[in-house]
Amino acid sequence: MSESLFNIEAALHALWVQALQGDAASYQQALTSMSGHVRRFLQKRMQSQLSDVEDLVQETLMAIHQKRHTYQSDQPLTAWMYAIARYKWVDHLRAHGRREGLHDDIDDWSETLAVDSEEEASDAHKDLEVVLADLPARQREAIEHTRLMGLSITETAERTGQSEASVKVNIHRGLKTLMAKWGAKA
Amino acid sequence: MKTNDLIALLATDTLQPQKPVRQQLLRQLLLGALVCGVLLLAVFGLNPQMDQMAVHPAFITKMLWLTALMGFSLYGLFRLARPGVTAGATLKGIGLTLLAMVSLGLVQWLQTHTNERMAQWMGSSWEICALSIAALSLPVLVALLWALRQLAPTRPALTGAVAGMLAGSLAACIYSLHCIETSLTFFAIWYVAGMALTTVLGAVLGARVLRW
Repeated sequence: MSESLFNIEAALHALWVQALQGDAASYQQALTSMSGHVRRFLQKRMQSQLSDVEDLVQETLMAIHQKRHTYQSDQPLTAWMYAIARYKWVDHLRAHGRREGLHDDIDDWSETLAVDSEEEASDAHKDLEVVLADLPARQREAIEHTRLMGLSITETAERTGQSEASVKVNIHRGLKTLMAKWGAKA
Repeated sequence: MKTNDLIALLATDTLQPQKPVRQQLLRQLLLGALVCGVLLLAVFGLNPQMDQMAVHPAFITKMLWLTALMGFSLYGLFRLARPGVTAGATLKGIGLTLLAMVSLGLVQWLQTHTNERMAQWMGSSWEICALSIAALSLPVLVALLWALRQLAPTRPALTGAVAGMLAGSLAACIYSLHCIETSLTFFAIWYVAGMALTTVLGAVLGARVLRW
């Protein structure tokens, strides 16, 4: 199980090249291997809806198949595959409401917010909006994108137009302000 | 259906995959440009003094500027149409190119005598310029969104916006064959406004039609 990403990439890429040349057996093998990686990727992110994972794995596989012409060899095949899985996952979260999407991320705050039920989580989310409203816009959006929407630093930087460094700094400063202001009351 | 059955089914689909990203986008861009060109000739008509206009420094500056905008946005679409590829330098490139023309326009405006400043930025066609560019860009935008639907943009609104920018700058190029303005201030305001309209429209449409 300690397969490194490098090895995964090399093995998958070899299969993929053969598959594109019309070798159906290689293609089947590539898709099978991909389904495993995608399944693990989704399981990690959908702890609360494990029953939906397999549906989403299948949707991702179909997307991989239908959009296979968008893969170009100047990028790692695994990056392309995970980007599709991530897109399908985000799409799923959107379809099943924001609350579910926030659920995972609020877990990261469990110590601060002491959330232990769904209802409290949604109340806590309302409170969170109030709390965040006090922060300067740049800090607030940095925290919202990374901690609430679950985006990476790079994606946040792109969406907000801040540099990656300032996203990191803004998250840090924002959290510090929040802790100073609200943390003491707990 | 079991996942393994699905995989077996997909593996039997030996149909040729669709054409690669660049080819699809370029084909639709060309198609849109053709429709846009025909519209210009039919609705607006060529500038009768095109031979003099073609060698005018302001015209050449404008065309270089629009070409740079088209270049950056096409580069951006090539990237954004593929999963796992970031926008790269697209936004920086477009932003700096816009900033360059706005600065040139401002400098030229400041250098203009106060009495003539009004004419400098309003020209003689300010009412129709931005809207004409936006209208001319529609066929290009539709063609590009059509192509993008066959591809796999993971950021629909941003991709739509960049498609809008490309459609807008191409339409502005084609509109330039009709436009008689030679003031950089005019370009910095009304051309930019026209392209901004298309960009916003692209973002709004993109967020809706580019889901897959």
